[in-house]
Amino acid sequence: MIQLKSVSLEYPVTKTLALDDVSLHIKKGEFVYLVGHSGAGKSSFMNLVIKRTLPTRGMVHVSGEPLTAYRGRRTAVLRRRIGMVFQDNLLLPHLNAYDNVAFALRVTGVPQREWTGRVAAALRTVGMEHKKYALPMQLSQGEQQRVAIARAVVGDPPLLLADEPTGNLDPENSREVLKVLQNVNLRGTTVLMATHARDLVESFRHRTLTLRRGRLVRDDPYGGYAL
Amino acid sequence: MSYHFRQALLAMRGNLTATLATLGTMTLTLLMLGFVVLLTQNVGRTLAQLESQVEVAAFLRDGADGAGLLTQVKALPQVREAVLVSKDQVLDEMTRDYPYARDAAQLTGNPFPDTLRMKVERVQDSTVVAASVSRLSGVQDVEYGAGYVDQTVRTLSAVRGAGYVLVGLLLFGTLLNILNAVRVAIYARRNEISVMRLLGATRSFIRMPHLIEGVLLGLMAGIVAVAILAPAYFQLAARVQALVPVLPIISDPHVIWPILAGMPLLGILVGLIGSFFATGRYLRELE
Repeated sequence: MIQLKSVSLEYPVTKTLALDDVSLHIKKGEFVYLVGHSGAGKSSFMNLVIKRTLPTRGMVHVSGEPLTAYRGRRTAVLRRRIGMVFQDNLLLPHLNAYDNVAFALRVTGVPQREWTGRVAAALRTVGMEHKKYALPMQLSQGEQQRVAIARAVVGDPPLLLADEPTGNLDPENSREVLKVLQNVNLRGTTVLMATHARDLVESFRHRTLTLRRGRLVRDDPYGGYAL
Repeated sequence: MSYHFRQALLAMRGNLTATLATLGTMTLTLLMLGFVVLLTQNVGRTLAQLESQVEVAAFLRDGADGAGLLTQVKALPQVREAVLVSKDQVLDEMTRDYPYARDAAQLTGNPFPDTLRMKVERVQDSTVVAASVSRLSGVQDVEYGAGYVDQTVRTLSAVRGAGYVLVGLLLFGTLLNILNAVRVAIYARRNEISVMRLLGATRSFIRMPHLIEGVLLGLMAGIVAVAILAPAYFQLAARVQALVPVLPIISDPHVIWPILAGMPLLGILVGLIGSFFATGRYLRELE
């Protein structure tokens, strides 16, 4: 699903080496944590996968194709295959939960007749169907994050990237969100979650990739937070 | 499409101050543009009339072969038409404007010579024709109002040229105007656009509401400009015609309305081009 071969990423303006000779392979259906301190390269890794940036050296393959194959209009095609969840959820404040999730279907050209069923299913997956008409400001942060996850998965993407999805949440909500992500994974979606929430990684063990100063220092198939 | 149209209207309403400012400046620009176009059209018609009336007059000596000279001047390629006016006909013409001329002629005899009157293809040909005709045997003198005609034609041509330059500059200014307005609208929606990009929206999906916004602004500005300019022009034309009847002021609606109808179309075109470039640049910056 995601393959990196000797990938390095240097930001030219600051001359920062965000990723340094990273090689890894994430298979279809896996749930993988990406852990590391701030500045370790987690977000840079995520930006690479969704082609917000290109590697300075090495090759990145997503869904079996090299990143360079996704040019022009095909960048949109790549991003439709990847659901994204952010620390700041990025829900549109003027749209209710239903419309926020449906927005993902609208921008990708899914016919409107399919929206009702798919949005309802996505909201059910995250346990938010009962609040589908609530605006983001009427939801707790945890609920907002769950709606964001629903928006990320409504298009049935094979891959879900979650960049610090529990970063702004209290422990209880963090656990709820992680359970939702695990639920999504159980349905067949590959999940890659960047986090520095130690307790979550220890409590809900999955394969864990550890980054330090841009290098992959540990790949633990059984999980555990070791920095 | 209805979604994009709604988003365009929402964006315009959401940035109402910027929208009204752009609408105002675009309307003013199209108004000035329309006025300048009508002015240049009128100047052009005046020039054409002036040029058509420019005449080279060759005064013949007594006893000159008028018919033969007429044949010779008609053969000149620059001469559009030529007539031979006898001295009696000239006297009749002068008497119509100056009645005492006939009385004076009865005392002193008809002072006016037979005259060859030539109309040229272009005003610039007057000098050449005058020079050629003056060399013909039997021609005493040639006049073609050189100083007056040349100066007037130069002045009016300069006005027309300046008009076209002003039109070009105004169009460019309008384009920049709409470009800025759309950039403001895009900036106001940058978070939403970022989300769209990450969800996999194509560039054209993101662009469409802003293109519609540009078109709507251009159309509205054009309509308002026409609504102001049309009655103002017809009133002004009527007044100028009453004051200076000799000026060939264009007041035929069949001529004016196509020009005025072009203003909303031009507004649409400028709005479309401006918003196209604005969205293109910003989306590239986002990537």
